[in-house]
Amino acid sequence: MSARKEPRGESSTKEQRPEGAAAERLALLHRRFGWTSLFAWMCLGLVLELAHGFKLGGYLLDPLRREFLTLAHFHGALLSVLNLVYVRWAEAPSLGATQRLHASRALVAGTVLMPLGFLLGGIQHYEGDPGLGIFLAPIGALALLYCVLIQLRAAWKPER
Amino acid sequence: MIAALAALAATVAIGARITGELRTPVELPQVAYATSEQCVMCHPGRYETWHRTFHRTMTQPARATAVVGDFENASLTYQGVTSRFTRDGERFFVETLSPANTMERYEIAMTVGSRRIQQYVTRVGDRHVRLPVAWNIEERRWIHLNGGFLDPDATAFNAHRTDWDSNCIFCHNVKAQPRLNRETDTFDARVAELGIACEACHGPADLHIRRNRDPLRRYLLYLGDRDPTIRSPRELPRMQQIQICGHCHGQRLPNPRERIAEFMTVGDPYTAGDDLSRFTTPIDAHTELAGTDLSQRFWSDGTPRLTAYEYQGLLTSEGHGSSDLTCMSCHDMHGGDPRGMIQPAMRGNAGCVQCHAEIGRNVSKHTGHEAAGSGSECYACHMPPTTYGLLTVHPSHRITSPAPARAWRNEMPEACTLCHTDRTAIWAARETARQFGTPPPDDEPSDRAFETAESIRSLFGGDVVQRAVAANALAQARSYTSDPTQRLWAVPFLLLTMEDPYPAVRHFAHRGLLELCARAEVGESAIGAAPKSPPFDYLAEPAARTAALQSWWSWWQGLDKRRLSHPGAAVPLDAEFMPRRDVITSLIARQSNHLVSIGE
Repeated sequence: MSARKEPRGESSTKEQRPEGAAAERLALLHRRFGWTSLFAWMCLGLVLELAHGFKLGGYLLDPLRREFLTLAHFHGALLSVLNLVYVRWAEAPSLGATQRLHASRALVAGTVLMPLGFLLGGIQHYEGDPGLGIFLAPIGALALLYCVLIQLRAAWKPER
Repeated sequence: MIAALAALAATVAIGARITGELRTPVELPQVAYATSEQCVMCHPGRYETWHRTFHRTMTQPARATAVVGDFENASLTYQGVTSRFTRDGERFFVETLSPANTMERYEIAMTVGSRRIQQYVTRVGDRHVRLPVAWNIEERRWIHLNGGFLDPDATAFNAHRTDWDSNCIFCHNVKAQPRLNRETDTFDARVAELGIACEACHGPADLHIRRNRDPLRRYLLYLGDRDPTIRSPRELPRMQQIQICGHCHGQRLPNPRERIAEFMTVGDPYTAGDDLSRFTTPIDAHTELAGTDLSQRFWSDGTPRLTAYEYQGLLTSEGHGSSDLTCMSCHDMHGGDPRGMIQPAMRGNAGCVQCHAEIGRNVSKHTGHEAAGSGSECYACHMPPTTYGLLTVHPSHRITSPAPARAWRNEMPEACTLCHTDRTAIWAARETARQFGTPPPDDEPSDRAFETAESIRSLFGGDVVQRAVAANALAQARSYTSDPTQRLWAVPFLLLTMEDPYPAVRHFAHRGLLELCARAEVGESAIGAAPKSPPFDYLAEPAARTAALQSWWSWWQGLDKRRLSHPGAAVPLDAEFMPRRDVITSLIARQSNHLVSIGE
């Protein structure tokens, strides 16, 4: 179906290692997604610094909001970096293509959902609990755990 | 996918279970109490706003952080007894007169009160005993409770030494249980928490806390469900809301009286949100109690004249039955200034015009006074300061319309002459009738005493509460004249009142004198400097008080009074601005010396 013309020399390599092309696509995805996500969460970090600088009471005087926005910034940035690092393992030889795809999707989902849950839970919150958005965080955490489990299993498997 | 579906199914099942549980009523009086330290985890904001209140610090263990009195070898001499206040590290001691007339050293176990007066409770055997000496927080000095309560000089030294376990415990803590053993006549008192904490108003929280450890339950509540495991005062019917405050701010007796045995042995059966009338009846002017004249706690028209009767005040207010007014219409337990706990948005006239908006739109038309002046303050006329409590005169919580005839019909202070202190009640009655176009009262008194300014008539001819209220009125900032120098005419009357046989009245007179002088900048202007020594102490022995008074009289007599105007014929002052002794003597002869028992 694809009308895209393969660059010279790649076609034969793909034929030999079709999984390699898929892994490369995953790596590209994580590179693009990782840098984009890192940029977004670093911007949030800048906003938080500005909130300190300009002494914004809505942030500084609300301990729960402050805690959850900080958590969002921290997790967002950390998980973005993990996506960039993950490029190295996207081609893990002991993983099948399906598992690789699952791990990749889980990592992306976790990277989006977990910090977003903290962010939304902190922006609108109840007196002693974060807002409803916080339910995204445990879903994201489960997705990340799933990704880590797949990679963990692959790491202990002998290479194919 | 299967795992996700299973998780979703489990969530739905748990949600359905919680929803069912939320719809099941809970017998709250059967639930255990938890303490405020448990509440803070979910309600940090509410905890913080409560934590800064005087409710929290009403009763505290005698730790260094709680004790505010001077225990660095301080002393107080009253009635010839020198009480000493010392500390040994974190332990605090009071040496004072015991009921056996010997000097005893008592270790302080608890403190009661933290805004105006801090009282001290020691342990004697199985009992906690409130000592008769206390620390006046506002004036930073030791006092004797005879001077804080309304007692004459000759009152016994230990008249206010009392058992905490059967008295103070009920209103100054959460869920009091004196646990009196009637066979051995011993107490084993317990409370759910010292001070007025969360569960005093919200009911016992143990079940609420346990069930709300489940986050799904909490989020279902956020989405709109009501929690049957806790009481939210604002969601209760109006009377139950008021009764939560009335439980302590409305002195009461068990209903029926025989139920006192249950109160003393088991404990207070009331739980926040219950119908208080099932357990107690508020004391009123007609309540009979052997050994105590309770009628003296009310003006003769039934208006409470002591604090801790605000509940009765509200119940007898005009329009109480048909209004939506509750304590929380003006007060907020979690906001505003802890002193008085008035909602910031309800300060001034805002509290009243939230219901009486039409009046608020043109307040001067309603009051006959300038809109921006103190004469247009709703409280000045409808909640005048006629209630005594802890060396302070508070606004009445019986909301009424001004009726100057009350002065002669009920022998009580009335709003107009609490500001127009140079005028008679008869003048006020005529003026009110003129302003509002109503006929003047047809029972104007022929008694010549009523030809005297009402403040002066009450100050010398009234009973102890009238005298305290009048002394307070002569100095209060809200006055008919904004010229503080012209108000100095009250000085000689206050000096005479500083000879009153009641220490509390002397206190008001002395404090008022200092306030008048300070406002008139006596020390700064040509008026002259007021005497600073010897200092006047309302609790001192008569000789010391007389010496200080002589100094004040000398100052007043020598003062250049050319800047003062005579306040008028109703004020019995001669041309030298000295009180007319004949008038004062005849007023004093009318004084009622009924003792007023303050049930605290």
